[in-house]
Amino acid sequence: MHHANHYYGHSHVLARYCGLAQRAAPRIHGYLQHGWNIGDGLADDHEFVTGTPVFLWSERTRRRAWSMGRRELYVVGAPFAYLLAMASPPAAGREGTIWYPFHGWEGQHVVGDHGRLIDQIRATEPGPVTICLYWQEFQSRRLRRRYERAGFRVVCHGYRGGWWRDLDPGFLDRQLGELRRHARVAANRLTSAIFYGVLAGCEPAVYGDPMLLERDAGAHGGHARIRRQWAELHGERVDPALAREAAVAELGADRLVPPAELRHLFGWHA
Amino acid sequence: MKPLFIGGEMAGWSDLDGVRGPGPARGASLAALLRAAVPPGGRVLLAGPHDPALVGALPAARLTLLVRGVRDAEALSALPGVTVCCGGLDKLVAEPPFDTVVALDGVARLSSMECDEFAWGEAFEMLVAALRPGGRLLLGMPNALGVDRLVAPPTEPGDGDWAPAGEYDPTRPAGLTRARARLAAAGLGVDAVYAAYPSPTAPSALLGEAILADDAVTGFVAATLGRSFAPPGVQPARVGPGPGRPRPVGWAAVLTEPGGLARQALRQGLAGALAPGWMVVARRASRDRSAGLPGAIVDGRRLDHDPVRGWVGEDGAAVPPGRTLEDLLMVAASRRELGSVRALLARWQRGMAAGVPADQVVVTADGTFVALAPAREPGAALGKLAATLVRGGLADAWPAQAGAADLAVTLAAVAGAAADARAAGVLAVDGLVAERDRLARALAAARAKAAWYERTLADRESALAEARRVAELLSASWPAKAGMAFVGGVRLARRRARAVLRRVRPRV
Repeated sequence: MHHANHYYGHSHVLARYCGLAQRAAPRIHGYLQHGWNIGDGLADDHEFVTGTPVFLWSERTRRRAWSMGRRELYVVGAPFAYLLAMASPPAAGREGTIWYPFHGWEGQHVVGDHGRLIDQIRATEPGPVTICLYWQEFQSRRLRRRYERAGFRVVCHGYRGGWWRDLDPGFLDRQLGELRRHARVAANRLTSAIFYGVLAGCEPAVYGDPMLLERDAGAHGGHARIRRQWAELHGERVDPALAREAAVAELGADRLVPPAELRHLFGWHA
Repeated sequence: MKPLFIGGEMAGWSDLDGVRGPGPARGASLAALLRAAVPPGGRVLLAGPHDPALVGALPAARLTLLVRGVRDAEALSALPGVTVCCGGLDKLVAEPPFDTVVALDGVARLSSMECDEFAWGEAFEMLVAALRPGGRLLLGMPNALGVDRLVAPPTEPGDGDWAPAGEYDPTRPAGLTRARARLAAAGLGVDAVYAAYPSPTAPSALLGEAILADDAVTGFVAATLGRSFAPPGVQPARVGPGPGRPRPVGWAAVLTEPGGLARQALRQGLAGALAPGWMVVARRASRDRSAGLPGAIVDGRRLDHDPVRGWVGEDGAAVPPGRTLEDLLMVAASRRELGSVRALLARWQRGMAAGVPADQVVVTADGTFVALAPAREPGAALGKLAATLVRGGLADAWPAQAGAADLAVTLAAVAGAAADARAAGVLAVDGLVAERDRLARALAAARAKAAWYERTLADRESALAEARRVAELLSASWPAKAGMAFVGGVRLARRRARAVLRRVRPRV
């Protein structure tokens, strides 16, 4: 229903899980959470029509959304968790760190010093470093070169897509592939990518200038709340067991829905 | 002092504002309970949403408040000399044990949506663990089958009910008896249990087991229960006809009038079991020690039992023994002792208590009327009594078939009072159903009457026509009579001739 359901190839991954073989993005009858957040799971800038079912990643997000007056909330888990459930076992051999500098999304502007971040990454990471940039930043030749000159490999998982254009069904597959090549996943803010990495078997780290958005309203407690509530996931070294527990809960990896039920929930009738 | 964020705090949430829930534990009666039951000095934990006014009621102590909403924590941290912790109860483990733990709101709102939901038993264990040996616990327990729930129409879950285990929680003790056993198993002695009316969060009456069981003051207790649901001067919530369509009565959003149901429970010895909630005062010690605790608290005023004077208020005034005037009237009316009813009504309506509802008047053994509520309009008091008589199936003791309003007028006449009697209060759903049935009967009777009038009228009309013909015949002169007979004969002949022609030439 909503174009955001197809971001990062989410709807395609779920269609594959449900055994639907189709090229076009299948229409989900409802609104699918597309990123980890500390509010009601929905994006603030997206139009939301009351009476539309909402498919959320985690039980905690469902409780929070309920308290904010939302109803018709169903926990299905994150599409990435489904991808991992379908994926074949990883090839042996992980090396280095995949590092996600926090990105703004279309229309947002991040303020921060990439130079200082590069120094900090160099000083912290023991092995080779891969920098994963958001497509917007990846297009900036200057920024890409800056990271490359520091001796890092620079990649991009692909387009997010929007309004049914530039959809990228292979986005999450590429991300999973990259995560599985690395021993560590790191970022300067706790984001979906960190949870994905932990679920894919990486040891996480969150450090460095969080590069706050220019006009970060601090909704739902903002970055300060994330630091407080998930304090155990911040730092250059993080307890992998605690991180795994948090990732499973936040991505709803323990609450995946069987294909037949998911087809029914999404209104996908063969 | 700034609040301590201990983990699990809920951003943007408030339990104190009452917008997305029933509001905090509050009221003068709970304040009186805290004054009586919390020993002065020592460290006190107030867990869950409590009205800031209750904090002021606590004796001087080192006070720690635990709330889950960030907005509440910020508001409470303005109070002088308190430590405010914001988050889930499970995150409070680092604190050393407290001398007193107060959770008057119960345990349901100690869980945060940011943490796993605790079952009743888990939260209870955590509260007990926070208590030092010998320390006192004040715990509120809502009753899933209390009078307030029994009268409630189906309701939608609110924003605070994201995972309402409620009555299906297997760790929650089922009823008071099992609650006592659960407390004993946790190493707690129960010092007192109070039935809380009219709601577990804002009770105006806290009634101990002794006063509920005391027959001598049953009138006072009945009046207290009734008044708790309908405090004088407070209009019950009305639903129904909007401002554009004025009607004499609206209807309340309840299935039946809760005060009436509570008094009924009292008559069956179930006022404790069906209370909307219970307040338990316990100690982490094997033996109970109820000394110093009030026998009851009504509208913020503590009552204690004196072996000589009976129940006495903190101001020294004795509780009037006896039954309510309403009870006495109902008994007399049900036995059709209309003489007694007349005498009682006359004394009431000609005395000082004329404007006090009959359920708020206690009649003592020597026949004195003691008013327990302020007097209002006598007409409304009669209307309220009429409604009770109708609900009790006693309306037909007098000719007043048009409902409570009609009966109220009759009662005024019986009392010999000049009161402008009228229906009072609002109709609950049961009253609406009864009123619908009464109107259906009244309509059927009116239709039968109309049909009978119709038949009678038809009979009368034909009799009248016949009489007119005779009268005309008798009153006319002789030539006129002959003329009328001739014209009649000609008309008859002409009709016959036409009939014959129609038969002979049918198509013309």
